[in-house]
Amino acid sequence: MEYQVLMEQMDSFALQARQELEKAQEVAELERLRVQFLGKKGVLTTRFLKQLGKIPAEQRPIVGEKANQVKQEIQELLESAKEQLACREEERYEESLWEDTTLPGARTRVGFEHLVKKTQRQMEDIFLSLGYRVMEGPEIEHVFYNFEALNTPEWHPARDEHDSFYIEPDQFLLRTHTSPVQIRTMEKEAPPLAIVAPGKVYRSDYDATHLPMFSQFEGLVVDEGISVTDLKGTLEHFVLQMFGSKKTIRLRPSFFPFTEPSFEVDVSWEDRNGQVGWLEVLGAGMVDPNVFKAVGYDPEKWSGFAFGMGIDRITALKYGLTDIRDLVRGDIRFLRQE
Amino acid sequence: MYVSKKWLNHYIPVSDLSDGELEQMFSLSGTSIESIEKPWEGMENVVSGVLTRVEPHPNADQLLVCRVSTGNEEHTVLTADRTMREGQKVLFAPVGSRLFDGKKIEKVTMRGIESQGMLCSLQELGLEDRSLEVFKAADSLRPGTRIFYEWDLDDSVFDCEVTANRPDELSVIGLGRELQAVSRGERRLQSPPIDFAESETPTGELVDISVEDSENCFRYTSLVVENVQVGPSPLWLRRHLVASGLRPINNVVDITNFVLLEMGHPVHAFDLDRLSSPRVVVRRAKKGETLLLLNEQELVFDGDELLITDGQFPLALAGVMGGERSGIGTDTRRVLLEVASFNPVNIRRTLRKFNLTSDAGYRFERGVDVGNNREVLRRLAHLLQQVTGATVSKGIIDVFPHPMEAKQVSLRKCKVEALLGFSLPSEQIENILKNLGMGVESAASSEGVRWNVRIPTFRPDIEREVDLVEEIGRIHGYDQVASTLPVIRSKRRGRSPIQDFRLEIRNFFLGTGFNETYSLSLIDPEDFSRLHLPPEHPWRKQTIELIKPLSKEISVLRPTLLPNFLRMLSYNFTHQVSDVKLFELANLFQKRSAPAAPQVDEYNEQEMVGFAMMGKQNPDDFSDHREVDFFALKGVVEELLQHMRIPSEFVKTPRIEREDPYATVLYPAQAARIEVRGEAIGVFGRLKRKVAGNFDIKQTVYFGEVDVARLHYWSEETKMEWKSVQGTNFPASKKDFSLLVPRGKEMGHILQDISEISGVEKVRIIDVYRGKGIADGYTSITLSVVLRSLDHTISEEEIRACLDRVLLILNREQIEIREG
Repeated sequence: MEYQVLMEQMDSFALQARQELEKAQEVAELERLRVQFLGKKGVLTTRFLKQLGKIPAEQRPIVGEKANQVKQEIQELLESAKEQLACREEERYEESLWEDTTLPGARTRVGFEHLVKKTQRQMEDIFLSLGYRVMEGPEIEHVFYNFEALNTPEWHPARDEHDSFYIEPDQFLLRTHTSPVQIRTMEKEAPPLAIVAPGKVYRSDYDATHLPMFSQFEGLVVDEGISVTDLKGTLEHFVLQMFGSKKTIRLRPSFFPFTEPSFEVDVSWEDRNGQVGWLEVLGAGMVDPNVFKAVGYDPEKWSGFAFGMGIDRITALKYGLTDIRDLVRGDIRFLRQE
Repeated sequence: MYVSKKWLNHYIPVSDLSDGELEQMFSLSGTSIESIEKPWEGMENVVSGVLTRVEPHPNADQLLVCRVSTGNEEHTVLTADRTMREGQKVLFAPVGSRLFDGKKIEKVTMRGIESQGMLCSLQELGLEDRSLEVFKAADSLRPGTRIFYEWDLDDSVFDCEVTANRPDELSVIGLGRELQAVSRGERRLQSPPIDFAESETPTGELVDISVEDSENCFRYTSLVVENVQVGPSPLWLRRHLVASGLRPINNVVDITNFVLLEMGHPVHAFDLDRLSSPRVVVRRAKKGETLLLLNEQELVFDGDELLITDGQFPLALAGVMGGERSGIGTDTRRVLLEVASFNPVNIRRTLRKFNLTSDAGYRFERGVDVGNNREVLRRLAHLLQQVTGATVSKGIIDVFPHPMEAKQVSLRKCKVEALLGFSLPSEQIENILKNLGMGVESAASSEGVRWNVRIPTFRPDIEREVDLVEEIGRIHGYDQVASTLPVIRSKRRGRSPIQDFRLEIRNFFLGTGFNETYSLSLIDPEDFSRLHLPPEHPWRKQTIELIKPLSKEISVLRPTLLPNFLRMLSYNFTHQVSDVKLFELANLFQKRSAPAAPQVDEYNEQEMVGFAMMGKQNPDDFSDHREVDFFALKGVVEELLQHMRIPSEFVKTPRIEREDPYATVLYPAQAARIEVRGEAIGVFGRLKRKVAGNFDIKQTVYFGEVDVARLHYWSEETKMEWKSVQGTNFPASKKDFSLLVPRGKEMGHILQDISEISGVEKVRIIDVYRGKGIADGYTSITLSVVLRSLDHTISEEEIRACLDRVLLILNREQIEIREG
């Protein structure tokens, strides 16, 4: 075998291998070619390396080196072809995955917390973080707790304003406010006290701004030296937490039988045209000494403030509700805001 | 209480204040202003004029064509009042004016002639109840006079919301006194004139007064006016009444109303000649006695009411309303005036008993001044003499059995500061009280500055030191007051365990896809019929009814949450929303006989969590086409109990009995009780379709409700410890069985038995199938039994032994195994 011939044959073998590798479309094809070219019984071994003995010894290293070069070249080609094929395959796979990402998702619904309940929870949390406790009382209440112990005797005209739903004349009624919880708590416990009492209350009124049942949120603090400024500061804190830092409040003197002095508390409010006005949001005052007497507290020693507000009203203000009856219809489009 | 700014200005200067400023002064001192009205708005251009020509309408017999000269201008105006003559002074409202009733005057053409305005009657100006003809003005009225200004019609009327403790503010002067205080005395209150000429006849000769019930009639003062000419009131008087929302009637009645509004003390005028004898006896009613009131209502008394009588017949229901018989008529010549003071509690009881309201009663039930009777009476006499030319009898009769002394209240400066939280100079405190009409005197005290304050009789609300503190605070105002946050020293804080538990339940349902609702506790008793409840059903019998409901639809308290849920599902369904999951925590109410006294009702409140669903299980998942069904509902219940950590081995869900109250609304075929260690704490199931249909729901509804307190109890009672899962890592073995179960066969106890086999870790249902390939009347149920030992790898023999016991149980129950 001519040394020259062998060298040329190796060149053409390398060329042929390169062409075939380029044509390969699948990884399996590459593997077959690797065996064909470089395998133990492959072309390189059988046609070239085994011929090595047939050429003169001094030329053998040259041919051997050439064979190595060819082998290395083919190996590199194999590697890069493999890589390219893997790449192309991944591309094809990705193509097969195509989805219209603009279609809606397959959703699992999670329920929506009712706005009033959510507001109630937030209101509780504001006062819980100040150190208050949440208290409760019955919705069917005795007139003693609903009126009498709250300094509102039978003949008091303030009873008219409550439009009560009685279930037993002069005895039991659906509570008209959460204030009875003040009495029930003070009867059982000695001061100092700091409680809030959320709950349902009932008044005979039903239109776009009134429900015959609504939720009220009562607060009571009793300690030595509690004053009007404490009440103002506490309500200011509440309003800022609930409605945001731009709000201010004002105390407007008013009358409730169970507080003295008493206040209506207004919150500054911007209307649709950006005009700032005042909105009546809650009632409050310093606990009347007669209420303390009714529960056996010494009014000379203890003072306190109390406040009450409609959770539904706070909700309506916070979320800009126009018809309060939306709250009780159970319309899923309203509850979920769909 | 409506107060006219023009009227108010007679007693205290307010005309320099804008309406807004006046409103601010009122509202920041405790009198909220509900609205400010301008009753005569739109009459700015109504002017006086003189008719220069009056001719019949050429094409209409009923109409006159007038030329009216208003000084600089002349207008053509049509009128149907055929009494109009040339030279008559009239009031002319040009096109664009608005009348008292709100009607706007337009340009009209009648039968070819255009009218450029209207000749006004007093009715159209709101100053007369019903006018028959156009107002004929006095000759002295100069043409071109704008009566809007001339007659004080450029007025603003403030609707004052006077709180129940302030009867003194139910008067023009009382409101004026507030302004005096708020202005720190810079504006001074003037009293109206009360002088009059007395006749020679002593009052005592004309009438005899006696008070038999001094407990309810504190004081009775009286005068007689004679030679009264009853007729229409002068315009200024009518104007004040109309501005205050009253209708003018006649001069005598109008003056009594005027004084009531002016001084806040209700008064009454009787026609003395219509009494059976000239005497007044104030006494309790006799049982069965009757009185026909001025409003033509006939009352029958039970004996508690206080009456004004003439000794024989009742004349008036004291402090509330006069009787028809002794009322003032056009022929009245002699008037008996009453200025009395009555017990507020008695008045209030009477008002409530007869469901009556009147301006007098409204004031008396709140407490009317017992100190100003003579002044009020003098004011009445003054006005009657001025307006009607009457003569007034000599000397006031004043029956005042127990004269009351002015209250004295002690006030400590330190208490003012402690309660308000800020300090004020002593002079400022004194001035505030004085401007409110109180007497202030410094007093010695070991506790620092102290005053003795004399409370005027018109302030029944002030009895204690704290009441004075309130006065000081509200007149000073709270705008500039500091804000402080008190240090909370109460040791008990936070939410109670049940309150926390409620949040857990709510979170559970929200996470499970249920939307929270907030429904009225009050329902329609008709709903019980819609639920097909028999008459003896416990829900009907235990229902609590309101005595005076607002309407039938909200007249009873709910004994179950079901009607509310059905209403809400129905609202959704009828608005084309058919995939709905709702839940709510709320109280149910039942009435029960007290164990000790069966005739006494006890009222019970029971907090429940209710849940209801219909339609698709996952409506927003297009890959999930399942509808909710009984097992979806039961799955919710089981997951709830799992989350509340009530071990499943304590829980049973037996089918509801036929006699269960819920069996009338749920199909027992698909409804169960929730029992924890034998105690029923809830129920769930599929609603009968007839019931759903009665609420216009044409879909299958699933519903359940669980007692929250009992759920909490069992959650606390049985709460398992959190188990470590270490040691369960030995491999498990699993074996599936497909069973052919005949309809009617209950698998619950079978699964229970299998799961109790030693070596069985868990039994799962992995498929429930009916239909093709399965014989009618059978269900294919595939179980997966997981076997595991906690301390070693379970052996082949152990597995075989376990599975043999499973097969034994299935054989015992005669359940055919399809595969496995």
